[in-house]
Amino acid sequence: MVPIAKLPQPTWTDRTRRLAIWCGILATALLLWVAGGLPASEPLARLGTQLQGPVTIFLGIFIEALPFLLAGVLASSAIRLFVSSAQVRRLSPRSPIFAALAGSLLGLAFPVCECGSVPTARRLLAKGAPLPLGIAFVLAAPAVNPVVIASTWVAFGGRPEIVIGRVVLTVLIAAAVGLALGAGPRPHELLAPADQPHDDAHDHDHDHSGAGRLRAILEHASEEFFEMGRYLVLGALIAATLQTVIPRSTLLALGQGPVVSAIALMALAVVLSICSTVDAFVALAFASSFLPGALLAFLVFGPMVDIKSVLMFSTTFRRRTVALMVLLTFQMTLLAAVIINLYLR
Amino acid sequence: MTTPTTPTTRPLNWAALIEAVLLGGAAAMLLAKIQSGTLVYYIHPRYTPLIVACTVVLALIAAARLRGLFGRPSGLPGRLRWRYLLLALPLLVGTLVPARPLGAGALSGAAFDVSIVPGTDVPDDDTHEWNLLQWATALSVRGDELQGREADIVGFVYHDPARQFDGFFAVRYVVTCCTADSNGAGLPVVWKGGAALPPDSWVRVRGKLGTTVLNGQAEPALIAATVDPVPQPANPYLYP
Repeated sequence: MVPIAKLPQPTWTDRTRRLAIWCGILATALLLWVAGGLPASEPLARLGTQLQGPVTIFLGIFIEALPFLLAGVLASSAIRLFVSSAQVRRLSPRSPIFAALAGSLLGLAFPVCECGSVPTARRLLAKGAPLPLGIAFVLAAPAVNPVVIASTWVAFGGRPEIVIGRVVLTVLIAAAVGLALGAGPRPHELLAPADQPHDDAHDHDHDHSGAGRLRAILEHASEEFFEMGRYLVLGALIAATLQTVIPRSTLLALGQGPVVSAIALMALAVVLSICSTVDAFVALAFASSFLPGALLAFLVFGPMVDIKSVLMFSTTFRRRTVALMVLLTFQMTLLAAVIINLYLR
Repeated sequence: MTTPTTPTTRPLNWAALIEAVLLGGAAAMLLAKIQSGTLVYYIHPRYTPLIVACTVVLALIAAARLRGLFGRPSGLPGRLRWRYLLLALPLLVGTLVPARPLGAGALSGAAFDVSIVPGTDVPDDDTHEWNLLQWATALSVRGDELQGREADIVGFVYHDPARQFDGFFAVRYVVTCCTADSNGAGLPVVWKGGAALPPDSWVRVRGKLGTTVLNGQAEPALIAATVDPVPQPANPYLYP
């Protein structure tokens, strides 16, 4: 009897291979045709009316986040293939304090928002970057990067204290969380099991000509895209449902006090799950009716913690670590916001 | 004796096939939405070039993945399946559910509230050029000065179950970035028989600003002279 493990893999001849490729092309063409909106059947159209709100919001979040997710996975696969662990270790600061601060500021060099920062941080950690650096990066990079600072400046040009406050608070809180969690004696117990440091820059036998490199980056990007993308889909789905169930006005009517207003806008940031590159424009809508501390809480907390980013964190960190990251970030942001509301206005 | 020519047989890499189809499908869906002009139902038009770039990257990744179709043998571990299922979701929903902008169905209860709509620039005093967002902004700043001024706006019909009157609300969604941050901007329109207009139908309202009583409160409202049905504008949203 042949042992199961030794059974030959199902094999494909050239003909079936061609058939499969044509089927793929045909399926894509079919999708294109259906998407053109020609044969929308009656029951589907009715479903569309009922689910119009959540579906349109879900696709809105997904389509908006897609370019940034792609940028993140491309950056991540470039790091994975072409930066060695030795280089990462050599360039990372030894002291946890400097590592955490460096992580908070690294976003200035990698302009990725929350969908891109997780894959990038994951790769840096896998290459042996210190944990405080990784945690601080994942929290700060979505807000402390050139694109987001520019968009905040455009939105709040008349109130530079908001722009400066956002950057300073984000750097401090991210570094503090990175330090608090990452400086422990056994840092790698905080990482998800699949992500223990290893070096795969040399695992693959890629030819390093220009085209070969590009192809290698793209192939790894696909893997990473599917790994991260499912959390984006899940997050967008939850956010769209929550938005439909809890109208924004309910959240905003909750409070105007120095504490409650900050909590209300932080909750809103989590529920909206919008990209950090544009949240400043959204915050502008509340600028007249909310205290500056609450506005800053929205702008600082939103990029660090929202539904989709928390789901993505879980690809890299253990659940307990994710819970601690969310909790610490929440407490520090709230504290800062309340102090600003009470004493600095 | 002749050696039979064996066909080159290599195992199919299912993961590569599924990923390539999903990535290519996503690119196709986005292209179709750009092509049909429905992409603006989801995101601000300033992001369209970014989405075009996205389709190119997606297609490139799909192509790179297709090259590995017969390379490494690979089964389809059970753990991988649900991530494919999840990523197929936006593709299926985006393809099969007909593209529609947010409308009356998505406005729930007191969903439109002038205080949470982002402000916008209001050009001086040519009030019949103002859109609904500009009206909402101007009313929140200097409501009293605007009584009796002429209005000419386009919006969709919405009936608020909590605020019934002889007329309807004319509403436009205001989108800052994508539909996740949308808010309704609207005004009550006093128009005899307006309560019978089907929700979500688009109308052009010409008239003057006056007041009406909603739930015992006097509120600014458009006193319509004419209400004409119009086709849905190519871009159904307003941008601050």
